[in-house]
Amino acid sequence: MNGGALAVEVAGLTKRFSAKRRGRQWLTPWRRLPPIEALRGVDLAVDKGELVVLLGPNGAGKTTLLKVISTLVRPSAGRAMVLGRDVTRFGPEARRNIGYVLAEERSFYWRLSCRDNLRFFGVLEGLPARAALARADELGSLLGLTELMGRDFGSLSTGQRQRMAIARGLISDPPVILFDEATRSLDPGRSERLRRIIRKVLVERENKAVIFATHDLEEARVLADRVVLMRDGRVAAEGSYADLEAQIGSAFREESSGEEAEFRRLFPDLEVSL
Amino acid sequence: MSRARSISWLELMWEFVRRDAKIQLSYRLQAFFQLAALFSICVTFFFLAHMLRGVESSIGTLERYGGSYFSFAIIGLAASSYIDSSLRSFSSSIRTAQMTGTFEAMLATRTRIGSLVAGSALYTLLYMAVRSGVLIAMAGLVFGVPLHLDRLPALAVIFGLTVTATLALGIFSAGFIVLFKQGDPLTAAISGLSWLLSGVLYPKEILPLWVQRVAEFLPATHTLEASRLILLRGAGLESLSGAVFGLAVFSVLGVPISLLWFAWAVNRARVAGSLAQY
Ligand SMILES: Nc1ncnc2c1ncn2[C@@H]1O[C@H](COP(=O)(O)OP(=O)(O)OP(=O)(O)O)[C@@H](O)[C@H]1O
Ligand SMILES: [Mg+2]
Repeated sequence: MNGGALAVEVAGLTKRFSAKRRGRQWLTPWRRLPPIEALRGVDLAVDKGELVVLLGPNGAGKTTLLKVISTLVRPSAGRAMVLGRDVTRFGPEARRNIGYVLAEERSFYWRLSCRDNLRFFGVLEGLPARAALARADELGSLLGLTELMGRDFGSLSTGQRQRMAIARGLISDPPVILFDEATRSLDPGRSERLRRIIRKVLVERENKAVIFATHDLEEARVLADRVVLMRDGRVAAEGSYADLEAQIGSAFREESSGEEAEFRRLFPDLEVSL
Repeated sequence: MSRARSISWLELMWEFVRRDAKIQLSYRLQAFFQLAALFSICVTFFFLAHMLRGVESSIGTLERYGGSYFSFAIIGLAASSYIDSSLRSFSSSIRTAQMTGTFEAMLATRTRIGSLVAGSALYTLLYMAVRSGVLIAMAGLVFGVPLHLDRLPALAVIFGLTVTATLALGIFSAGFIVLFKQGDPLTAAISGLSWLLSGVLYPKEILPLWVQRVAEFLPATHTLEASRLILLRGAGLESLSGAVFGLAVFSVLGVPISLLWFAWAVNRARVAGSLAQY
């Protein structure tokens, strides 16, 4: 099925959010508010067995791009395809092929056990309850959640919750996996192991397509086959981390240069670096 | 590619019910308090009716429903609380899920949004049906209200039609929540008007005639009338064609319209990127 198609293919993807009118803007309803341009013509192709790191400063459009691919947000123009099928037209099919590790790690049932939580989301992914439980245990041991399985989700620490979010994204063993800041709140040992799981197990052994969004330069450096540098809703550059190093550095520096200048104006007497 | 057989819709719905039952059971004392609350409703109306005992027989409008205020009020409360909470169950379950972030997590799965919303409301619908059943059973067993239990099949038909009629409104308000993140005026108005005009605690026949005409546009009016006539007078469906027709019209017109509205609202929210916002 869809043998020749790329795992993820995004072409000319544009997303404009309409700004909300508020306060005095209601007095001039004929005046159009400028939209918020989250994506401005993004092209991206990810093959099976490939790991792409979406790297970009805050607000670059990483999360929006992942949400469009996973059908949570509808694009304004352009298209996104998963295994050769347009996600806007074949939503449930696209979502079946995608595991999405949300950036929001609190999005579980706090009064249910971890096991029950994973069972529920597993069934929503089409697994029979028994298979979902078996898979939950499998992922639990991979991610160090075994001891926590019987505990209420609400009693977990932030990093433990984050690992639950990862387990949920992997529960249906989909061919395409989207990670949004997956190592956030993980301690160094666990971040490193997760990166190894992604790289060695998911991508190299299981031939999955992985898109990993982060703003962490070091993470991008160690993880990526290919870095896609995003800025202001555009792909600013694409290539190996080593090739892009200079561009990446300047992109992140320029992004907040205004804030930097303001800092220096307010605290002229302070040392510039720590 | 997918390694498991697909599950059936019933299995999926069961999983929602299981989830919500477990969450509710985690609040340990709740079941006890709920039962106690039902009992205290019964006691309150028992004494209220006791006070009216002398005049009950002179209330002409009550005659039609068997003449006992206690049984009149209990069935009124059982039916109207069911309708009220089923109207709310769709939107409030979505709202909770939006606030806790679980809505987005559910939407990212392959399950269609229609099933997500249906599943999320299902437990409340079942629970409230059981609660209303318990209230009526309590009135019958503990407080000795004579009930025409031989008419349960007719009651089941009315109940089914009530479910579909309220479904239409429930789905409508779910769409409203998805789009505007707040309760809709329509369902609120219908809830409020039902309480006033449908004859929950007093027979609708005491209202001016033109108000009674207006009340016919509320599903609750038909449900209340039919369930009282069935349980208290042993009426059969053949004598309840008005109520059956009223509820059927609500369902047949309302469900498709509200489904279309809901689909449109979800699409708008996808465009605005606000499906999971609150
Ligand atoms: N629903 C929305 N409505 C309006 N604007 C939005 C919405 N979602 C995102 N945006 C805007 O779109 C831009 C891109 O946001 P996005 O969340 O994709 O950034 P990001 O790259 O994930 O950033 P971060 O590293 O901070 O997570 C931002 O300017 C943001 O304010
Ligand atoms: Mg983000």
